[in-house]
Amino acid sequence: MKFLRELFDFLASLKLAVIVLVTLAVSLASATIVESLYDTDTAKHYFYSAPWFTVLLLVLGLNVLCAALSRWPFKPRHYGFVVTHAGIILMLIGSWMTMHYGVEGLLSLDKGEASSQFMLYTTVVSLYSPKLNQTAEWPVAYRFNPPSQAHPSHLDMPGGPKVAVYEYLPTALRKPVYVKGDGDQNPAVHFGLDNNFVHVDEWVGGTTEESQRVDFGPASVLLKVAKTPAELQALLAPQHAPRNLGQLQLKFPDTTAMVDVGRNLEQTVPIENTQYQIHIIRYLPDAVPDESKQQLINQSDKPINPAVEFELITPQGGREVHSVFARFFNHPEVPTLHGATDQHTRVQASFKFDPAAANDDQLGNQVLLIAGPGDKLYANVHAKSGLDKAGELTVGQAWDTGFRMGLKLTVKDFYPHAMTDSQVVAFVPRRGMKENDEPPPAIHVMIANNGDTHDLWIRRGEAYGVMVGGENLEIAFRPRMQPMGFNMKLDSFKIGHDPGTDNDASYQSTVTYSDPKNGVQPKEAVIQMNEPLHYNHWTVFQSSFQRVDGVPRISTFQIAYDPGVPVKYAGSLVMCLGIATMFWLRGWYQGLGKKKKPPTQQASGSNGKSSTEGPGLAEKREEALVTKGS
Amino acid sequence: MYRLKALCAALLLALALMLPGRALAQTPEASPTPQASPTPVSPAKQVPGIDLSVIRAIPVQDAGRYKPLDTVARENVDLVTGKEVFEGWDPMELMLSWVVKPEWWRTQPIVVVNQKQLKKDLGLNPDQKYFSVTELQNNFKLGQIIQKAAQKARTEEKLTDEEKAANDAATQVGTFRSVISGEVFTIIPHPTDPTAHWLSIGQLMEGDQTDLDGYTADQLQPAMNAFRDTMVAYNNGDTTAFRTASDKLATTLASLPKSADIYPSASKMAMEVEYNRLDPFRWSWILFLTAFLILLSTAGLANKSTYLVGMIAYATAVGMTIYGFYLRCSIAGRPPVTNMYESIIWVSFGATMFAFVFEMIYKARRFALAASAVGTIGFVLADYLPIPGQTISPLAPVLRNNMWLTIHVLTITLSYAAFFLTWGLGHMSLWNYLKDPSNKKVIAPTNRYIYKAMQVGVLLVAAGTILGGVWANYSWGRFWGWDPKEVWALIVLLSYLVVLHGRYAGWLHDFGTSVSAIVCFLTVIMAWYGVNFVLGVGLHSYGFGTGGYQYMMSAVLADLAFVAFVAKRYGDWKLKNRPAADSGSGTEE
Repeated sequence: MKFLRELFDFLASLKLAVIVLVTLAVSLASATIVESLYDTDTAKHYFYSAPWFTVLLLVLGLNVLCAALSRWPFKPRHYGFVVTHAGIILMLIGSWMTMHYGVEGLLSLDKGEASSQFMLYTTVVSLYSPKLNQTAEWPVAYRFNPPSQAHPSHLDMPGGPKVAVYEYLPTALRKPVYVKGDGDQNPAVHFGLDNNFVHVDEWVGGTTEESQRVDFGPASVLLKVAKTPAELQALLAPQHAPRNLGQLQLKFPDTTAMVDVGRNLEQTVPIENTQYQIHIIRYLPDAVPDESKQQLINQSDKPINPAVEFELITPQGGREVHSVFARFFNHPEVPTLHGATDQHTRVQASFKFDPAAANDDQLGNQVLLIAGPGDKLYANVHAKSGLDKAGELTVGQAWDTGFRMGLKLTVKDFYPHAMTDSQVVAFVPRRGMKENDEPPPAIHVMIANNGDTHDLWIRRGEAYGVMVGGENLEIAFRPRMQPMGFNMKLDSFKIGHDPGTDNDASYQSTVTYSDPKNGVQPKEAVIQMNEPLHYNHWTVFQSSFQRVDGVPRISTFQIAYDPGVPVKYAGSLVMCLGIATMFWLRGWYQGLGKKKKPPTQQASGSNGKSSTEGPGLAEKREEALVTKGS
Repeated sequence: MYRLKALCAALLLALALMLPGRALAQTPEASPTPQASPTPVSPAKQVPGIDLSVIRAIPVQDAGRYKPLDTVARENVDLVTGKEVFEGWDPMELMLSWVVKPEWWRTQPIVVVNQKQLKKDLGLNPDQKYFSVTELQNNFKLGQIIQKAAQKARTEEKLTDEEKAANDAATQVGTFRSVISGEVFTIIPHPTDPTAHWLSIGQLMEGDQTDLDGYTADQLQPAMNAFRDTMVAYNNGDTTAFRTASDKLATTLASLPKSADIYPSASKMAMEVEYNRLDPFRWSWILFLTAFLILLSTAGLANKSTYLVGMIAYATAVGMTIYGFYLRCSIAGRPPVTNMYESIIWVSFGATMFAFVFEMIYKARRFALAASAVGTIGFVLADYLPIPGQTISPLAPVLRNNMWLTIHVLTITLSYAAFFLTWGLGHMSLWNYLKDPSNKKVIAPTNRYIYKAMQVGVLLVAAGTILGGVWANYSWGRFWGWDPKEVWALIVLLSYLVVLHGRYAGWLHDFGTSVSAIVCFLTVIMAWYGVNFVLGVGLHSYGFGTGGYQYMMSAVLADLAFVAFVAKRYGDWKLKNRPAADSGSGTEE
């Protein structure tokens, strides 16, 4: 008994109240910081939805309850205090109801699409067994407790197939891979490009230009097929035509010379029949003069106003910088010399540029893999550095590509005839990518049925039919669906704008809902921000939208059912009334019941051991706090 | 979406910077004096005695709402020059002068550039504050920096201060150009549709007559003529002609729409012009400062008449603030707490209002003193810091048409106001401790008042947080979702509850109460500013912004240093006077 009494006193104590309040405040603050650093799910998992957090709230509830009970029998001066604490308890009960009975999810509808169920935030693995004619659904939350080979997650259908999830990827891509085939199928090559920093492991193959090409950063790998030796020969030829950027025509007093710009760009070459050398500094497809800096700048890559900057170097080492524009080709009298008045060479330069013939294609680093006749593999490598090479490749052999940083090409597999398959791989996020663009998670499952097993990867949102143990099972990894009990169709989605702007002012979905079971004929409703649709116990909110080809078309609704709301509202109201009573009205209604002597020390255990004052002091203090002026 | 828009804007600006400017006054029909000759342009001068009242009030469709030309002028002049009144020019007149004398203004140093690194990299004089449009427009390096910034914006990389400043400079130049091209004069009302785009003078001048919102060119001719006559009259310095022409312009424009509800009412425009002219919230801090100084001279003293004078100044300040809110709400057509700027003035107002009521009830002569200081700080910050929301602009969709939102926001911000007041009182109390820790006569009542103000705050923050839940339930279908903003409101509540319980239990005495009034306000700052500007996550994203972090942090640290200093002094004093300083001083009358 004594122990219970002490326990109750502790639970009702102010000391515990302050401890709980401080703990709660600190945890909440940490949670918001975690949310800011990571994401909402992380904060939910480690804080708001964590068991310890529930325990903390439970302790708070107990503390509040015991503190209120410790005032028993209630005197008028306790009313405010007790009412406030009752309100808090009601709110906690309401929250518990929401947690256990509340339902919340999303429904995305395209224009004209209808649905009678929506997606919950829970993810499940589902399995359908035709033999048992039964579907099993297991809610899973692998993100923070991923299964592993050592600790697989077992999902068993009683008396039916067993599923073990033994790998999990938080974000995963499905990539094509190839397996050895036969006959007239297309070739496929599995290659690696490696150095100390970069490790690329990819396939090229299939029939489309896309599947036959891999681009990563500064280089590309392409697969080509050569059926005849002639085709092969053509593909092994140097990959790029020289750049054609027109010619410079240099009229010296005694001779005229032509210099090809594309071939001699950024090089210094002697000019025929003269004592000079020419250094072509740069070519500008779209030059504009910048007056403040007295120089040319390039505005775009399109040949709108082509110009060339070059310098003539005299035998003595003197340099003359010229800028010449293609548009003045027929006006060689236009001065081209920049920044100097004295012209040593007396050259009249003009720039002959034919936009139709111009070729400014700059081929980057590129590997051409060629599946040649006789099931042989060849490569034709073009490096920006100019180190082109071509020749036959064998599987397993490492080739120096001549690309920067010593990238080596290794062919890991070569199937002259390959079949397509796919493979799930972990996704590596790129910088600056939005969270929304992240691919879904994936699980690796092993299905066992009638002594037979089958393993496969499933990404969230995918469903597969697999033959295991003579049964065609259907397995899926997907959000849990919740029937709404009524049908809803999106008729249209509209965005309103502020006058004269493209600023969104409103999001408006027009829907038709019907509930034939309950005899509700199709009815039209408009759902917009702050104006949800209420039907049965569901509330449908406008949540977000997506554009299709630039036109807003897909509307996403949040659908919720929260039975805790009335309790929480009641609790809120009671609590606020209680606070107001406690702070300001006590003086008034205490006057009604006349002043009584403080009761004997029964209730003030709330002060615990911290109280060095005699009994009743806390009560006195309590009274002293009351505003008498009002 | 917003990022995309920002990107497009940056690209457009970069482009605009490269192209030569086209000015209204260069088009032959708008220019009465031949300006084609390359003779030096005559300097622009203010026209004495010009009556701008009519042209000020002409409605413009701009940034999603209708505002008088006066507001447009202020916003544009402020954007370009960094202040509303530039070298003594009335902003309205300056904008007209830009239009009629673009060649002159283009070469004048009017664009404010403050960022040092940018000035250095652009090869501009680092000691100079203002630069000419020509100078910036021809600066090749500026274009480069802007292009780089646009590139970064595309990959969502963070911009450096220099790149931000370069973007700003481009916006400033672009703004000047859209003034001189007539683009900002979006004054031709749509004939039938109340939400459709209005035409601008610049568009009409361009000669693109294909899409005139259903008007024929002839129908718009009178308005164009009136506009031209107004500008000509201004250029000639002819005040009588200007008055006639601007009258004509106003009536012609008003008569254009076919239905009556399209054109904004003259009274509403006049109200905004009045708001601009008066600048009531500037008066607020001037008056609060006056009140503070007067009250300071009488604090503790029994000089009734000085106190009365101080209280009259205080009441005037409150009255001016209320009038300011009345104007702002009428203009915006919504409650005054939808962005950072408005919340700061509202919270400052709330604190002074609470103090006024308390002062009336308790005749304590402490509330008004603390609150006038608090009010001065709040309104000065709002007036001088580049806080988002100073200009009145339309709301995010989620904030519209919602009674619960209004009630929730007003309640929760009023709780901030009460806590702001306790913060002020806390400082006052610490000041008293610094002066004489033994002076219980002053210290004890001050802390009792802190406690009372805190009670008000606690009820309001509890109610406000719950009302936020009601709103959330109404808008998103859940009462509580652990959204950072609501979580921080809860943390505010919890931290002040700790103080209330601590004082109740007798663990917190007067000194502790004063200190916690200041320290707990940090949670308010976090809930108010930090969630939006530091954490930057959650559903309250419509209020997010950046900047000011260092200033806020330094202010907070300085404040805490003050608290620590006083605590040290008080601790030393207590040690010395151990027998005299009783521990249970807290709450006796």
